[in-house]
Formats: sequence, structure tokens, C-alpha cells
Amino acid sequence: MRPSGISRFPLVRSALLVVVVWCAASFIYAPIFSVLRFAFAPGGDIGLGAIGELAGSRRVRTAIVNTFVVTGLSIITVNVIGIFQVAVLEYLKVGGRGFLRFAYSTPLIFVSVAAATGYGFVYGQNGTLTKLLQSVWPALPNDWFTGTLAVVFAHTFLLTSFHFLFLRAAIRRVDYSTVEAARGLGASSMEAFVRVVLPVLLPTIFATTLLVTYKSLGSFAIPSVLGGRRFDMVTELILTLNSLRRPDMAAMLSIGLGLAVILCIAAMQYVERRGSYVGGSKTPVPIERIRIASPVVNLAVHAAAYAIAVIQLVPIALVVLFSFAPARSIATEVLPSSFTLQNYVTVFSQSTAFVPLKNSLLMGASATMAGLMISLFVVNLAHRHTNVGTTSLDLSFMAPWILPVPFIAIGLILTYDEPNLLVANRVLLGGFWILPIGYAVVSIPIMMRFLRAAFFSLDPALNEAAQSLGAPAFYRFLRVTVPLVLPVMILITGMTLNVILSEYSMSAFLFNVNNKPLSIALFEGARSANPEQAAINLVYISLIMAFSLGIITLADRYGLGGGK
Amino acid sequence: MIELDEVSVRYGSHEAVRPMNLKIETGEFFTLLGPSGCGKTTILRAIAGFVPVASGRITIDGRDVTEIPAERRGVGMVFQNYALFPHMTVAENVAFGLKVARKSGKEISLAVNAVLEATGIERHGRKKPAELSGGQQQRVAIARSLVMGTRVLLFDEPLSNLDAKVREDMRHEIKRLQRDVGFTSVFVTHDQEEALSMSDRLLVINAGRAEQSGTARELYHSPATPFVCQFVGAANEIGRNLAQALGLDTARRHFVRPEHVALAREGDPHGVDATVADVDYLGSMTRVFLEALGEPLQCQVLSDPSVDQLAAGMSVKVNLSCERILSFDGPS
Repeated sequence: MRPSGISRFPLVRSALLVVVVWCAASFIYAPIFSVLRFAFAPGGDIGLGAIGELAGSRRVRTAIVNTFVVTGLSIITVNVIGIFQVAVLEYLKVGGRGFLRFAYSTPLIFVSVAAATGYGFVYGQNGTLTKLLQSVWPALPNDWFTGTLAVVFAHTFLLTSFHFLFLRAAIRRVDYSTVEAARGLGASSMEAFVRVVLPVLLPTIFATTLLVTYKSLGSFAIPSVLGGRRFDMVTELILTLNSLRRPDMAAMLSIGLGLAVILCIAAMQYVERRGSYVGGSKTPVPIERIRIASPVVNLAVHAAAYAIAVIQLVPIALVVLFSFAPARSIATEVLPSSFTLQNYVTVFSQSTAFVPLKNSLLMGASATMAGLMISLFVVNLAHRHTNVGTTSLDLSFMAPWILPVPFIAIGLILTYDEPNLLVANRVLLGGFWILPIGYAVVSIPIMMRFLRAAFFSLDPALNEAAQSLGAPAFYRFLRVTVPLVLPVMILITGMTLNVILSEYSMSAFLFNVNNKPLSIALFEGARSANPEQAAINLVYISLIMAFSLGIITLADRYGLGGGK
Repeated sequence: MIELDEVSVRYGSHEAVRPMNLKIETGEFFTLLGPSGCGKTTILRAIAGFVPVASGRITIDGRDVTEIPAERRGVGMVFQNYALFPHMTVAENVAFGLKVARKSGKEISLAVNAVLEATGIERHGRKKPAELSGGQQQRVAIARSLVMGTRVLLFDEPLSNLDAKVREDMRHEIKRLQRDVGFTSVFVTHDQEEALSMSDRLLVINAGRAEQSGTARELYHSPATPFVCQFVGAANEIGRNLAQALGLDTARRHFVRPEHVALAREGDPHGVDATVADVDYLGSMTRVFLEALGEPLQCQVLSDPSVDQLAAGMSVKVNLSCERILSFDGPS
């Protein structure tokens, strides 16, 4: 038997292949080409004029400096808080661990523009905490929480999700006997943590640091909502340049951002290749939590642990509480004095309030389904047939993983702001489908990563067993492969939909009056002084968090990527 | 009958199986025996249709199947890890092939019940594979192939994941099923005891090449090559000093089985002087590690009180029965 003898390419599969190749050409390669064309040859002549103009603009220079300052500070503060949280949860005996774990896990559900709006609601001009602080210190200006301080503060407590997910998993793999050995040699529990545990965790810490860097460099929703009117970071500036009809400068700046992100990813892959330290022990002892001997240190650790928990929980608690409060109390009360379901009724009954939610659900569902179908087809093809064609297709759909969202968004704008033969000479910009296409393009790489892991974890003997029992290829795919990767498919569907519900970067570039999504409605609401609008925002955020919580609970319960 | 005619398999530039000829008779229990990486599983997978052959022809009951996809060869396979579909119940696993063949519901139900009963797992039909023991999973894997009425069943080290007691039971169970149903079995293992006890005939493979085929007794008592001699059962290679002392041709290689080395009585004039290096008590048997004329030698004797007294450092005499010595061309 030779593989060519088995793999009969039926007509349906060939047709699907044509569709998938068209998708890659139209929505990945064409936008990349457009960005490069506008950056380096805006009028047809090749040149680097855009770089000169960008370098000459004070606003651009300030935005770049802001981006690097925020990123640098965020790396330090997120690591300090993240490592401390992991130590509190997994290494030190701190009372109320369940409560702290819940508090520290909230960045998983409180993300993007929803989180930024929530922080604005608490710390912003009419924020609850601002009112509380002003009652003690009347001289405090209304806009005290703005600029670099606000952005770094929000990053610090919102980007610890990487530590919560990955560093906790890593510390659980540390062989506790090495800690015992260190303590047996005279090290205190803290010394053992610093000298034995932390070095073992360094590769993971470095990897999470790179993720924080990646997120901070491309941060958009947080600086837009919390930074204030005079504070720019690079992503926001790309949008501004594009709306000022300078696509060449926007494209060039997005290339610069793309290069920074590619550097980050290259570094991450280098760390992945280096792997992690593996103990030689045949019987590793699971990590145990250590009692802090010094009462003073113990008190300080408890105080810090609970202070962080309060900082992370207060915005969420206030958002949820006030989502059930009458709109008038939002602007006037520190805590709501009465409760009502009216805000929820408004969101679900008033068309203006419901449309963004409906749009996001519709666009999210269609982008997720399209992304899932493409990912499934490409991953299955690449898994079964390794050749130049399938590898190229696989890499094509993975390309958006190394490109920042503004790069792709600008590419889609520049490609489809006029009739284009790739889409039957139609103009997509300004229509409904441009945004779901953008969502799908950026969602596919993560879907493919999870699906690929699920496919590779499948025992090849199962497929062979089905084959030896007479099952043809498509029957095997439907009856053996799909049921085994179904849990992963369901979970990535939920996760993608969850991300899209509060997705801000792509939305800000591609939304229009026909498809205004929830994240844009949230952003607009955050800038509105109307308490009714604020109340609707709080309901949006609560709904997004509830959805996220459901997805995370599901993922936790079934174990993502298990392929069971 | 399964016939391999000059079949070779390549992985890139590596020739995993060199051109090989093989005939397996209908109803035979045939074992491919060899060390890890010798190519025995590759041969099995080539027969199943999972590995393309680089050259040669495979026929099953006279039908050339070389280019036929695995799903159309009508050959059952029992995998090392059983490869049961984890999302299906035992009954669904067994019914899988019948559903593919579009049999009627009634037909499937009857066939599944019959084969579950024949393999002794009728009580477990509604369970998922994860709820079964290793031995029970093995039975499901066999039942799944048998229900298709397959006449050829390929076993890829199917007992290697079982503990010793279950393995012993499953050996007998597989043999019983093979006798009762009458299918042709091709069994892959690196465990010589398993191979010798189960097989009608065996093929010993080394580095992708067929060394010798025959019955277990033929391979044990009349090995064709030094490799077969050493791989099938234990064998002492007789060193130059000992060969000279025994009057053997030193231009050839000589081997003797440990059970053919006897401890001589005291004062035996024909015995060779030796020193006890170590003693392994194995219950009914005792293995004695000796040094004779500066060369290592193992002997295996029945345990008795005189053997129990042996200890490291003691001087003894040993007898090697010359008619039991296995000699091969080539220098020692």
C-alpha cells in the first residue's frame, strides 16, 4: 500500500480546498500585501518617506515612548504581583486560600474593554473610589487616575492571568524534595523559594514576561479608556493616523509594531525550545505550602495578599452591584442603596441597547464557526498529508499569530475600501462582514494551535484500527477523529466567542454603523456622562463576565486539549 | 495463506526490512521474533497495509494485496495498546466494523453478542474501555476483529502491557480462540518465552533480515546462525582457551546451552577446572556463574542440597557434553 493509493481526493474535498485557499489569499495575503504596498510604495514609487514623517512627528514619538515606558513598567509590576500571587497560592500557608484564588483568577474573566471600563467606573472621574477619596481629600482632582499611572495600574492587575495559569502550573511541577534539601542545608523557607524554586521557574517566568510584553506593546482598550485624551500608545495612534487619511503612516507604524511583536514571539519560541528544568528524581514529591515562621513577615504577607485581592475584586463587585442599581444612583452613590432589574430589562428590550449585544453575538458566532471549519480542515489535512502544499497552507493561517491586530485591520481596510476582484468586485469596508472576517482571521491561529495539539495527542492506532475494520477515510474522520477532538472543539468555540464579545482592537478599526459591536458600545458608554448609558455598560460588562465564567468553568472541568 | 515475496520496506534511506520471503500457512500461529527495532512490527504493518512496501509482493489467500488500502484487505489487527475507541462502549467498539459494512441492526446485535460471549466479555458490553482491566480490553480488541469474520489476525505485541499472571492467561486464551475459530495468526513479540510457548512456527528477525524460520524446537536445538542460537534461549559462547581444552576447532564459533553444562563429580578426570563466581537460586533450578580457564561460563542445574552448598570462590569441575555443542563457521 502506498499513501497515494489510499488518498483519493473526492470532489467535495477539492472544492473545500479551493475555498480555504481563496480565504488565505483574500484575507491574509492580500491585506499583508496592501500594508507593505502602502508603507513602502504609497504612490507606486518605492520609498521610505513614511518613516521620515513618523520620526518627525512629536505625537508619534511620544506615543512610542509611552508604549515602551508602559511596557517596561508593566513587566516589572505584573511580575512582582504575579509571582507574589503564585507564591501565596502555592508555596506559602496563607489563610483564606480559596477566596484569594477566586480573587486572583478574576483577570481571566475581566478582560479588555470590559475591564478598562470597569476600572474607569471605579477609579475614573465619577468613579466610586474617586468619590470616596475626595471625601477624605477634597483637593484630589477628578482626573487623578489617568495617563501612564492608570494604564500601568490596570495592566498590573489585569495581566496577571498568565501567571495565574502558567506559573501556578509550573510551580506545581517543582520537586518539593529539593526545597526540603535546601532547608535541610540551613536555608529559610524564603531563601529556599528564592534560591531553589524561582530558578526552576525562570523559563516560565520569562515566557509569561514575554506574553506581558506582547500584550502591553499592543495594548489598546486600556489606554483608550483610561489613558485620557492626551495620552497615546502606538495602537491607538495607528487608528488615528488611518482616520486622518494617512494609511501610509498607519501601515508603516503597524509594521514597526509587528516587528516588535515578532521579536517577542521569536524570543518566546527560543525559551520554549530551551524547555524547562527537569528534575532527575524518579519520584518527585508534590510541592507543599510552607508556614511562615516570622510573625511579622507572616502578617505582612497576609496584608499584601488581601490588599491585592481587594484591588482586583472591588471593580468587579461594584460593576455587578451597580448593574442592579437604578441609573441615578450610579452618579451619586458610593454604594447602591436600592436594587432593580431595570437595567437588564433595558438591555434586552430596547433595540438601541440590544443591537450591539446582538451584533457581537452574531458576528462572534459566524467568525467562530468559519474559523473552526477552516482550522479543522487545515489541521486535518496537514496532519494526514505532510508536504509543501499542506505545510504552506498551515503556515498561511498561522501567520496572523505573529502579526499584531492593527496590522491585519489596516490591511483589511486598505484592501477592501474599494472594489476588489477577490470578493467579486465588492467593497467590504463599511459592510457588516468585514468585522467578522477580521475576527476569524485573528482567531484561527489559536484555534489551530489547540486543534493541532488535540490531533497530535490522538493515538494513531485508533485510526489504523478503524481502517483495519474497513472504515474509509471520511467515515474514520467523522466517527473516530471528530468525537475524540469534540471537547476541544466545543471549548475553543466558547473561548473564541468569549474573546470576540469583548474584542476591542479589531472592532475599533473595522466597525461601522451596520455592525457596531459590544466593545465599541462599551467604549462609547465609558466616555458618556449619561447615567443611563453607564448603567447599560455595567450590564454589558456583567454579561460578558458571566459568559467568560461559564466558559472557564467548562474548560476547567473538561481540561482543555485533553482530547478525551 | 499469507505470502511475502521479496518484500522490503524503506523509511527514507533506511532499509527497515530487507527483501524477505515468507509463507504463513492458513490456520497457523506464526510468530515474528526479534529484538527491539529489528523490523518485526514493520513487517506486520506491511501485511496490514499501514506501511507501504518499497519492493516485492504480498498475497493473502492468493490475492495480491500489495496496493490495496488497509480498510479493504480484510485483515484484523490487535494493537499493543489495544486501540479501543474510548468514546464508544465495548459493544459499540465491537460493532464498529459491522456498521461500516452496513449490516442490519439485528445482524449486528446477534454477531456482537456471539463474539462477546466467545471472548468471555458478554457482561461488559455497555462499559467504556476505560472501565475494563487490561486483559478485558485485550479481549475486546480481539473480539472487534473476530466479529468481522476475518481469517487473518495480526497481533502487535499485544501482551506487553499486561502483568505476568494476566499475560499467562491471555496466552492460553488467544491460543484457545485461534484453535476454536481457526484464524491465521501473525504474532509479533520480543519475548522468546511467549514466542516459543505459543507458536506453531516462528521467524527470527535481526536488523531487518530473516535469520531463520521453523518450529520452536528447530530454532532452539538447531539454530542456523549464532544470532538465533543466542537470541532463542540462553547460550554460552565457548572461548578460545576452553575450546582448545575441549579439542574444538578454534576457527569456528561454538556455543553450549547452560543446561548442557554439568557440574562434575569430585575427582572426575574429564572435568574442566572452574571457579564459582556467583549463584542465582531460581527455585526448582539454580544458575551457577563460573569462570573456567579464565572464561565465563553459565550452567543451569536442578536445585538440590549439594548445589545449595555452592558459594562464590569455590573450586569445582564442569563437564560439557560435546554432542550438545552448537558450532558455526567463523572465528570465535
